[in-house]
Amino acid sequence: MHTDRIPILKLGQYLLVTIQVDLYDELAERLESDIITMARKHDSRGILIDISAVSMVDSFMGRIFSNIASMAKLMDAETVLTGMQPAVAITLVELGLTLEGVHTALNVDDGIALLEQLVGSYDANPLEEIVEEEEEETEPAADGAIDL
Amino acid sequence: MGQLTYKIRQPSDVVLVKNAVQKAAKSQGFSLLNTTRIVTATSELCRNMLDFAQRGEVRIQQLSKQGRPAVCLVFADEGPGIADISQAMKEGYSSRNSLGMGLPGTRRIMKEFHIESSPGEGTKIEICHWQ
Repeated sequence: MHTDRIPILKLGQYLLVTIQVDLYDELAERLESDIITMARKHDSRGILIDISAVSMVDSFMGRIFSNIASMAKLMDAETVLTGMQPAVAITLVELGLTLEGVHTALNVDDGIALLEQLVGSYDANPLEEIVEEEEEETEPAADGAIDL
Repeated sequence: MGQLTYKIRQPSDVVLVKNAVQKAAKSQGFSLLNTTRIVTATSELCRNMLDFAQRGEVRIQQLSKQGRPAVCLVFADEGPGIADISQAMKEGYSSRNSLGMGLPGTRRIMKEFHIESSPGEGTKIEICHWQ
């Protein structure tokens, strides 16, 4: 039936998704699995989903965003939802949705800044660096350089 | 004061209904927020219909309620029906893998909400909203 897909762009260590169409169920579910597959492929640390062009978020779409955030979190990535319209935010709250685990920012600029902050603080975790050094034996010099 | 009926059989039909509801809300002078509320309610109820009854129809009416231009929608299906309506209206209750926000949430965002259902008889939900 439908083979439409929402494009997902790789932007450095992040994935950037701009939703500009009405998300029907299949499209939303495909987006969910595409994001997770791409996050895995590129070892993404953050996912930014811009919904400034979305005029309505219902409980199904809210669940998709929460799912993406939870799955991303399990894969060590943060999710930021940007550009939510005021009417959408009000309706979501009235519906009773809280979008668990999803960070929000006013626009894409702020969203990227937030990701830098979230992921940056995580990079400071020394355990993570040890694991990376063990896995990436080909680039020990580069890792050492970062430590300095 | 027009009336339109849409058949719902697949997710793409829902997009058509949502567009028609949005148009009706606009022509009744709804604010962006009230338009968003009724389109969101439409989305919730159409999804329930597809999930539980596989098919049904939606009637869109532009009426006058309490002297104000209103949009009223009737969602009717001949699906399995709901045995315990008060349970289905309860916050967080879900008979499938969802958040259980659909019916109680929809009731909260609409000015009028009425549900009739019994097992084997299908479900009929009427909602009305006005500016």
